[in-house]
Parts: sequence; C-alpha cells; structure tokens
Amino acid sequence: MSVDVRGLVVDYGSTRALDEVSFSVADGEFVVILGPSGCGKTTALKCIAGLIEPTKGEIYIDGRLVNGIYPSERNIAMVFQNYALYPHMTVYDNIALNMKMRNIPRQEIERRVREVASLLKINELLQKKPRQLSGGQAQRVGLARALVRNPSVFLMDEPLSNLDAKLRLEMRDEIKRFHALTKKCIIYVTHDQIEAMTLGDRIIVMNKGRIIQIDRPKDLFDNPRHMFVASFLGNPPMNLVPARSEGRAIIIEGDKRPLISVPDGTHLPEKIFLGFRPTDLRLSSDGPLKGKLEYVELLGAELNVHFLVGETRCTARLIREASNEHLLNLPTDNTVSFSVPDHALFFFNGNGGERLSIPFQILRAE
Amino acid sequence: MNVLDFLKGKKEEETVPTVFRISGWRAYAIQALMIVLAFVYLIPFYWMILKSFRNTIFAGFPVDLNPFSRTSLSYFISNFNTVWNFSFSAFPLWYFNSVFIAVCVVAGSVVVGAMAGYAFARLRFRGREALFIVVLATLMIPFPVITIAEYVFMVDIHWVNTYQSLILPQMASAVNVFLFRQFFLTIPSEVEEAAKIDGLRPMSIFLRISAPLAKPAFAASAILTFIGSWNNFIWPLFDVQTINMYTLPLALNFFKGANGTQIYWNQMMMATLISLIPTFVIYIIFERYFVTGLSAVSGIKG
Repeated sequence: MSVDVRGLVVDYGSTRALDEVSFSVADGEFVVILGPSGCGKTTALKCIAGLIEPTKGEIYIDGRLVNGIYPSERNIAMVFQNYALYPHMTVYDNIALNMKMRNIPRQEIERRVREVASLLKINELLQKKPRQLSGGQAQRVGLARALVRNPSVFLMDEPLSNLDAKLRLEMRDEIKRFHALTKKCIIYVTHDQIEAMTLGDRIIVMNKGRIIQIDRPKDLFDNPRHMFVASFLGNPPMNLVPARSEGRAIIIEGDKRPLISVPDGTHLPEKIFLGFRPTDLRLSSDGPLKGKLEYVELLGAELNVHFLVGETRCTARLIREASNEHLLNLPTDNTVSFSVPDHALFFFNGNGGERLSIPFQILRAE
Repeated sequence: MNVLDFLKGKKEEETVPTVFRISGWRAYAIQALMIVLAFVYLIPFYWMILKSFRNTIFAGFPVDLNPFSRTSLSYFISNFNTVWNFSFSAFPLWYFNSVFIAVCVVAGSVVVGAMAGYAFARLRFRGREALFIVVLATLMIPFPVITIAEYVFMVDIHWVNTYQSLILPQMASAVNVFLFRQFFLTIPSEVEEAAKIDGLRPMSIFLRISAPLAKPAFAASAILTFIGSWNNFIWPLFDVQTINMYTLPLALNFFKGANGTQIYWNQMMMATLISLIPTFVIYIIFERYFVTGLSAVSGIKG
C-alpha cells in the first residue's frame, strides 16, 4: 500500500503545471502536500487519482503502474474540498454508489454502509439529502464514501477548507483519528501550514509546479532548505532581510555597518537574504540587530513588535514581561535592538533562494 | 435559488433576497405601470374569450363586455361544434398533428440539446470551442433566410409533406444546446470526478449524475421548444401540401374563410382558445422549474 510518483510533468498548453515531480509515500504514511494556490498540488493529487493524465512520468500504486488506468480501478478514494456529494441522492446512496457499480449484493452494501456510518457517527443522516447537511456532516459523509471502498490510498484535496475555524479544528482531529483507525496511506493537499504541521508524518512543500522540500514537519521548520519553505511555515512567518556581501562582511540593505563577518575564503553570493524567526528574537539594548519601531500589538501574554530593518518590515514575538512592557508606550521611530542566537540565523542565496551553509560570526553593535 | 446554491447544499431560506428596495412614490409609479402593462397583455386574451362566446363574426368589441351572459353559453357551444367539425371534422386531426409533432420535437430536441450541451461543457475534444461558436452563430441567421434552402433539400430527399420533415429540422436547436451547456457548467466538476472514482463511465455520469441534476434545464428547454413548435407557422406553410397534414397555426389561418375575404372571428377565436390549452397546461405544470432553469442559466438569482 504505497504510492510512487516518478518524474511527473503536466503541461496545459504552454504552461507547465507540474515540473518533474517525484516522491513516494510508504505504507500507512500520512503525507501532506503543502503550497500556495496554483502551485500544482491539486494537479499532482488528481494525477494520482487518474482524473488528469500526466504529460510525462509514471505513477505506481502498490507497485503497479497505473498510468492510463481508469480512476475507479486504481484502488484509491478521494475526499474533495467542496464535498462533491451527489446532490440528488441520499447520503446512503452517496456512500453506496460505488458498490452498486461493482454489483455487490444488496445486503452486503447495506451492511458496509451501516458499518462505516456508525464509525463516522452519521447513522441518523443516511436518509437525508446533501443539502440538508451542515459542512461538517457533509465532509463526514465524504469520508464515509471514501472509507467504504477500502482503498489502498486516501487522497484528500483540502477537505477542511470550506469549514469554519471551530469545525476545522474538530475535523482535523477526526482526520487524525481516521488515519489511526485505517492505518492506510493518506495524501493530503492543503495550503494551510497548521494543518500540514499537525497532520503530516512528512510534508512535501511545492511552489510553481516543483517540489521545494520533502521532510518531517519538525525538520521543515527547523531546517528549511529554501527561502520559500522558510517564509511559508511559521506564524508570523520568518523575517527575511535582504543584504549584500562585501568581502568578508554581510551588510543589510540600507545599512552601512557590517552585521556579520565570515572567515577568509568563504564563498558568498553578492545578494543574500538573512532569515530569523520572530520567536527567536530577544530584546537586548546592545543587540546587533537594530531597527526603527513601527508599532506593537498586544496579544495577551505575548507582544508582536513590528519594526523596520533598513527598509524591510520585521516582526519580533516576545513573551510579555516587566522588562519589555515599556515597548507598549514607546513612540514610533524609536530604535529597538534585538539579539538573535547563532543557531537561529539563516542565510539564503539572493538569486534562487536556496539555503547557504556558511560559518559566520555576528558582529556586536558598537 | 439557483443551481449552484442547490448544489452547494444551501437551503432555500438562507438565500438572501437580492431585490432592490423601492419605496415611496416610485413604488406606486412602478405598480401603476405594471397594472397598465398587465392590461395591455390581458386585453387580447379577454377579447379572444369574449369573441368565442358570441355569434357575431365581425371583429371589434361587442357592446356587452360580459362573456357569460344568458345566451352566450349556447353560442360558445355552437362555436365549438363548428370549429371541431370544421372541414369534415378535420380539426381533431390537426390537433393531433400539432401535439404529435410538438411531443416528438420536444423529446428529440431536449435529448440532442442535453447531450450536445454536455459535450460542449464537459468533454474535451479538438475544435470544441470553434464548433460551439458555429452552433451559436446559427442563432443569428433568421429562419426565413434558410427556409427556401431547407425546402429544396426536403424536395431532394422526398420528404415534403411528411411528419419527419416537420419534426427533424426542429430537433436541432442551438438555443437548447446553449441552455444545457450553461447549465452543465454550473455543476461543480468535482461531482463528476467523484463519480469517475466511484466507477461511473462518461455515459453513466451523464445519465445518472449530470442529467438528473439538470431537471430545471430540461423543463426550461422543454417549454421553450414546445411553444416554438406549437406556434411554428412558416415552415409548415412551406412544407405542408395537403389538408390532412395541417398543424394548428395553419388551421387557424384557414378560418379566414375559403376565399380569404371573410374572417369568421368568433370561430377563429374559439379555435385559438382551444389551441392555447396545451401551452397553458404545460406552463402551469413546469412554471417552477422554468424560472429556476432560466435563472440558473442566466446567472440571475430566482
């Protein structure tokens, strides 16, 4: 029960929707494909489902090449963002349709529908039409319709996006339980990083039709290998400040004083982005990172301090304490200084965005 | 409620009315205008009913405007008998011709329209957009322009004065193709994708999923096609050569009198009244779907 995708390419006319996408999903694994809208994640999912025929590349499900095989014969089930229930059929018929198509005896259909319905707690909905259901109920029916097929792979296309915030949280837990229950492999597409981080065993980050990084959620957050991944994960997102290299020094754009020095012989690209997470910044009067205060947001136990470094907007998230309470009353344009630990500083190539691993030293402010 | 709301599972009462709120003198002015318009539309019907209850053959309003006076019922019955038994009882046959042709045209045209509309909305094939433009372009050609060509063609294939020549050409309706295509486009493609995963092939998807969802479009196109076929005058006028093949519009023309000089208005109005019944009945039955169908296609909420 695994999925193997090799060199998938999908062209729509002259636009390339998927560009050499390869990944594999192991038995029982929960893999999330994460990316902004239009990045090709749904296209990839639909290729696996057989709803889109790829221009190039191979898809294996359970080791069997499935290119050109009709969706219903790929041993997959799909859950859709807008539920995609058949509006003119009852919930029962929605769940039973695929078994009817396979000429399974009526008693057996009835038994399996009831079994799945009680598992997902939708017994009392079986005689209702989809338009009588709430969003959460409809998505539960969507899950039941997928589950009843007993497939090798579950494909889920943003199944929680149409639900309100509270329900989304509930359904997220439900999907987690669903996975624990079925122990089948799930490929789950979303643009919501929280969903990705909480659900996935591994996350595939995509942008512009390409895979940027595949990793476990923790590694993705702690060790982004690309500026896109760094900026996409985390809330508030990682601060990315454009800088330039001059000899052994790295200088923030719009600044004259070097902030970082590197050992002799280190190769540096001309343009660099410095990255640091808002949560890694500490207020420190002699901190090397200086900026102009814009405004401060009080979140209760935490503060969001917005400031300008050069011309770049940055955010620091601080735990509210006596030592930083004064920030709330500090007038705009005052200078604020922060320190950032070495391990929390990232460097990205200004052309291309890939992570640079370089030895460095933060220069202390005079 | 339009079809998208229906498919999204929105409940009827949740849809917010999008009617403009008009108040004060404007509301009264609009109502007054609507009453006047209603009169303009209803007066011909009133006149038709009035005339069918009279024994005068002349046009113009009778002195007595109440159709149901003491003697009028006997005139009504005598007018009906005259019309029904007209020309050696040909009227029932003409009625049958009109019904038979209309039923065949509606059945054929709705099936062709639904399938072609579905193909244009959902199937991918080379030249789809170009072909659709060609279909739409046929809407811009007035029928009289192609009448002669169509007639010559019917002569060539020896179909003149037959049922098939009265039925088949009317089955290809660009309006229906367009109407169905627009309707099918409003059905989320995910529903059909789910059906594919459930094991339905394209034809079963059409028959079991898409077509049942298109009930309003079927109703709207059926009514439009029925009215079109029922009222069709020009084509039967060319095509029909013998009295036994007459349809009602041609038959009504017949009441102008054999030599064309004298019009028997009371009989003609009685004949018109009888011929209106099916249109009326069908509209009453399908009225609800008709409005949903047209508003879903036009994108205006009903």
